[in-house]
Amino acid sequence: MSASNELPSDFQLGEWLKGSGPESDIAICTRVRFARNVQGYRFSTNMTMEEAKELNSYVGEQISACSECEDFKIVDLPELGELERNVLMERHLISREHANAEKSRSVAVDEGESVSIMINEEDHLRAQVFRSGFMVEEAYQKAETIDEALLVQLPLAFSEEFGFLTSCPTNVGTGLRVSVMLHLPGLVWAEEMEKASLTAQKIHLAVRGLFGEGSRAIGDFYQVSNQVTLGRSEDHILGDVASAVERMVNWEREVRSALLRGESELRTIDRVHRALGTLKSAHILSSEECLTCLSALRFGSEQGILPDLSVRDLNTILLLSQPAHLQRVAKERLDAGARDLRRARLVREILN
Amino acid sequence: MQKCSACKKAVATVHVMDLQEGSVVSSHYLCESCAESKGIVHQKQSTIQFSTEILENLLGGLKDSPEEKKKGKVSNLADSDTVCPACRMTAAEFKVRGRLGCPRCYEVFRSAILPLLERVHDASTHRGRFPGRTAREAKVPTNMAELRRKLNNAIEAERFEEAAQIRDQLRQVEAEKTGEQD
Repeated sequence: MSASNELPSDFQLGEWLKGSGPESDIAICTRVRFARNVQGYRFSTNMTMEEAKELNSYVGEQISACSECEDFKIVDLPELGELERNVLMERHLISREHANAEKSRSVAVDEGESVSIMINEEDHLRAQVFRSGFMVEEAYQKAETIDEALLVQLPLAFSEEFGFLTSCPTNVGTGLRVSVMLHLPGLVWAEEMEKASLTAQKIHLAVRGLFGEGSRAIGDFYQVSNQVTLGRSEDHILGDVASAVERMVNWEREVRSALLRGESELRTIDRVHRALGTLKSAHILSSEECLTCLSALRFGSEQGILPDLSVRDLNTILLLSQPAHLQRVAKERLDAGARDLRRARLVREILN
Repeated sequence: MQKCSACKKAVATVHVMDLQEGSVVSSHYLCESCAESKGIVHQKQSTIQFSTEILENLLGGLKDSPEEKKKGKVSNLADSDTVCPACRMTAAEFKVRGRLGCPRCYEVFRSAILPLLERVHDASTHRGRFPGRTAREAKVPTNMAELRRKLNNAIEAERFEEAAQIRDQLRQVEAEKTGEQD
């Protein structure tokens, strides 16, 4: 296996934080992932350490040989330190579970961090494609191309009745999850978010926080994704997510313009400038406060209240102010208190 | 302080106004729990359930809250003695973990899995892509059936403009299909 532990450069923002693409003022990033398993092995959730090791190196070899994955780096996760694994997690290249598991496992990542394939997560392969902005169709096409190329290399478990077989029956069938990360400060400030979540849920879509399943919605980021993977075609699933996203984007736009009209206007502008004041001056900054203020700044930048502020700077702060990134840049372990000082300094340096 | 007009006890926190053509025709003050029981406000507690949570409830997994336990579950999860010959997973183990052991388990525990799939996905058969085919190719027959159904609905509802569009789409799909066969 052509394993390499060299991580992609720290200061590259990665596809999901490029800040480009359609509707990128609200739709930050689109993600499409396939869950796949190899025939002749138990599922990763039911393996011995030995089997996990064997599968990990077999799948890694086959990915290296895959025509669509030529420039991919395969990173063996147990060989990395905990901090480096958390850096990958904060970059959305691996899940929290994949970062913290005990067994033999790895991740294959392309140079631009637009594709990552987790090996031995809950399923043998979890291939995900990221596209900046609202790009459901494009992200899907890329994911399908990679999936087809992987099928040439690996005998994947498939049944005509149930489709692609997965460890958890909630992913069986297409094994497809399409999710779009939305920044919805308008809906949150106007207290419409709960209504929006319930509306999405009625059509079997999930609304989750920044880091997916089980994560809190921090910094007004929400992920809209399909729940159902069986009994619908891929196109149907893509269409469902896309139309829900369109509705939420429009809803957010309406609320934003209402927040900038009449009596609300001054309060909204005040809120944005207060956030800027905090981030430019604070000496102790918790992750939560930082994300809350960043959300107001992003809103201000997109709505022309803070025209000089670049979304790129905001995305840099978003990425680098996370715990593992802070420690990586500092080159030392920092406890929560020390991180709050370090975070405040980083944010002041970028904004002033 | 305004008292609830329904229970006449609690402090009213919800003001309901009936509007007709823009003017208020009647007005009530309700407390939170009366408003909730009348379906005017939603319970604060979000009712969002993710499919993994639904699955856990169905399986009677470990994470059930007492409240969820009351709702009842699918308890007839096959014979607990059934063992998958490929990976040795038992039905009882699947019930606890909510994860199958290997691809073969789908056949072995098929009768137990089918009702679960119905509950989680509202379906029990794959309708997506097959390996070696793109989604576009897999879609054609399904899509035609779907288009025909939509066409009938549109005609029934007398939405003729929409029906004409669907008819054109159907013709196009049919033409593409014949083209491929040639």
